[in-house]
Amino acid sequence: MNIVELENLKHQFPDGTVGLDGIRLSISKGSFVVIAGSNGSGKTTLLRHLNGLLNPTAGIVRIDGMPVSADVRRARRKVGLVFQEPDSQIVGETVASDVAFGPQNLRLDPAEVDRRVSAALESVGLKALADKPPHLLSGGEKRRLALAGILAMGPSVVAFDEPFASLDDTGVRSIVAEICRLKNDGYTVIVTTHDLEPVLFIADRLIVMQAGRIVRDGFPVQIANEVGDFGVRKPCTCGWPANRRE
Amino acid sequence: MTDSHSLRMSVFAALFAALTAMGAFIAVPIGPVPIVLQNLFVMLAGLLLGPRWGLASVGIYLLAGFCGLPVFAGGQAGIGRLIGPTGGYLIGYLPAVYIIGRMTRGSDHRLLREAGAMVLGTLLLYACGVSWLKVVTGLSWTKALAVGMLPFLIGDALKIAAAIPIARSLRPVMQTEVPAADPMRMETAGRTGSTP
Amino acid sequence: MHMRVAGEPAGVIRMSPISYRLGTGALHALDARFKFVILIVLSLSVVKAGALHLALLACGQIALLSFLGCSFKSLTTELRYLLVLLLLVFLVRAFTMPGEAVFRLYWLSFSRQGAAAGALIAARMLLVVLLGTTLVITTRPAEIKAAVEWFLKPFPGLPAARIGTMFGLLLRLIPLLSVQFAETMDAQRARGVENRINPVYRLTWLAIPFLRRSFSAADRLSIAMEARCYTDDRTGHRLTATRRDWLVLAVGIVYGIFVLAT
Ligand SMILES: Nc1ncnc2c1ncn2[C@@H]1O[C@H](COP(=O)(O)OP(=O)(O)O)[C@@H](O)[C@H]1O
Ligand SMILES: [Mg+2]
Repeated sequence: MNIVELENLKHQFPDGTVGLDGIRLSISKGSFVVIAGSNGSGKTTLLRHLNGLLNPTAGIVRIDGMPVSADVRRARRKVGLVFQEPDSQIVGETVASDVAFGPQNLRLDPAEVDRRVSAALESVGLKALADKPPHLLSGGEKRRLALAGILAMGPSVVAFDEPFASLDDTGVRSIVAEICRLKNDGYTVIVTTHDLEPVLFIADRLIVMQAGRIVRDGFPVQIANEVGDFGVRKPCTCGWPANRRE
Repeated sequence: MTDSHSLRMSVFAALFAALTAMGAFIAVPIGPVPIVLQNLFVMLAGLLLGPRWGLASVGIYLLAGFCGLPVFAGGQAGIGRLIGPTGGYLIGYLPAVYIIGRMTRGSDHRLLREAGAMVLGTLLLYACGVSWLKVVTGLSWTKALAVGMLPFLIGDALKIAAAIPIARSLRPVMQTEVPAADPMRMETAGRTGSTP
Repeated sequence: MHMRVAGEPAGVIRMSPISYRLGTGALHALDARFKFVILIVLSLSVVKAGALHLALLACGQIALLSFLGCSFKSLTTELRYLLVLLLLVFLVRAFTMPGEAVFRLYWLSFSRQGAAAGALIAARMLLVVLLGTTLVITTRPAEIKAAVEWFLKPFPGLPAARIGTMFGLLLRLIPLLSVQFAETMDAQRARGVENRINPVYRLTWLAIPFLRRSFSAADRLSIAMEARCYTDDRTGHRLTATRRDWLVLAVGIVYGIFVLAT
């Protein structure tokens, strides 16, 4: 069953830049899809269509069978977006109040909000930091906090925009571990990146974008050696298995 | 569902409230007295947010401080800061930001109009600040003006002169809704293009 | 250009070391709305209180604050500017008010009545500040937010929920912006902006890149809020009043009236 369906999606920005140019894409439930492409290839623009932050110029976006435009709130509940810059998506003045932000917007009753907050913090391993102000967290912790804020809303799709950008090795590993866990828990996971290395062996599907189009789509290990043509960093597999933690 | 324009403006008003709070701590040593940037940010709130949202931003700052949230300098939490000797300057930000926003709204932002609005706003600010200082301390008018206004005038003139090009350069950013792209892209865009 | 950012070296401005402290005492447990009412009643009565009650209240406040972990020393360092101003208030009154002269300094006379009046005003202001400090130390920002929303709700035309949201954003943005400011300053210093003599130029070339960055952070923040279904009609923080809250409120009000009456 397809949870995300994009039909002939086009997006042109007000200044005339073409962000997306005819994207057709179906993503099946529970899969882990990596979208790779150089800067400016349209990855972020694509993710923003999944929950109605941007509206298509042409084409249609369906989440779980229903067009996003029919019920934006539903799409935003179903598709959780973890943005590239964790600092500017953390809204709360403490870790716990940030995670509560989404559930409160869903008008859940206070007991349910508390339950979801502690469950989400538990699952990303930030329970002990619940009362800390977010600016004292490390880069990896901030990304996990952003993820907790999304998980507390109960999504079926979790999309990460460039989750590995500007993270140190520990940070990258903790995010990879979170992604694996999400996948095992049955979430559909979408990750955009211009660095394939951390996800090459765990992804189910690799999509390569260039200039707003999909130029490759297939098994990661099969097409990985072609990505260099599209401005994506080629994974250097040597030494990788030693680092792998599974 | 809340419409995204008013949400965006609320975030910007909160941003200017935060800048105003920080401005009390940021001092640039220019000339003999280091100048504090707080009133620069208030003037920019008027110029960039307009009267309504400018007032909202200063109002949020004052209300938050009044209610005891830690936004006032020097641990002077709550009402004490507002009724204290320098409380009048804080209250004075309200008429100042409003008049600056009001006078520059919708015009084609001519130099004289902006400068005039800021001078008037600054005068209103001192009218509130100095008269409260006089009431609390019991100083005479001349002494109150000498202590509570004269030392700051040069700094204020510099800030007014700087506020004009700053507002000019940021107004396009403020007005065109940039759906946050990659920070890298934003920065190059900031450096090369988007000047009026 | 040398600039001073008070606070931590990392560039985070701590607005004040006097801020919320975790605790489980009776004051921490008190409903924030009740604390506000008591605070306002006591502040009003302080404005009218005589020397005796001021002394009593001040001792009580200082004892309470040190019990809450706020030492006398940290209070005086934190409030030093206020203390200097209050000293100024005291001196101006003492030297300008006519009355029985205690001593003379050149042509000025220090009057007893003036000193008494100045001390009274200074003490009242200090006490109101200390009362506020107690509230800040014992109340979570989230509770303050919720209480303010509760008080504003009955007023038509005031978007209480939105104001609460903006309070939260304000607290969130202060540390974020102060880090960005410190970084921008370093970057501009590396580019030699400090060598320019024209102060307007220096101010402009510090403020423009800093504000540009903070604006794009604000833009991203508002998009992230939208992505998380932001609405004004949202679940609020729970505030529940107990019997004890009412009891404390009653005691506070009675004491306030007593102070006003005597
Ligand atoms: N707000 C905008 N206005 C105009 N053009 C934009 C905007 N945001 C992105 N673009 C352009 O759209 C294209 C795709 O951008 P984006 O989706 O951010 O790429 P990626 O995330 O893959 O780096 C780029 O050419 C970019 O310059
Ligand atoms: Mg991107």
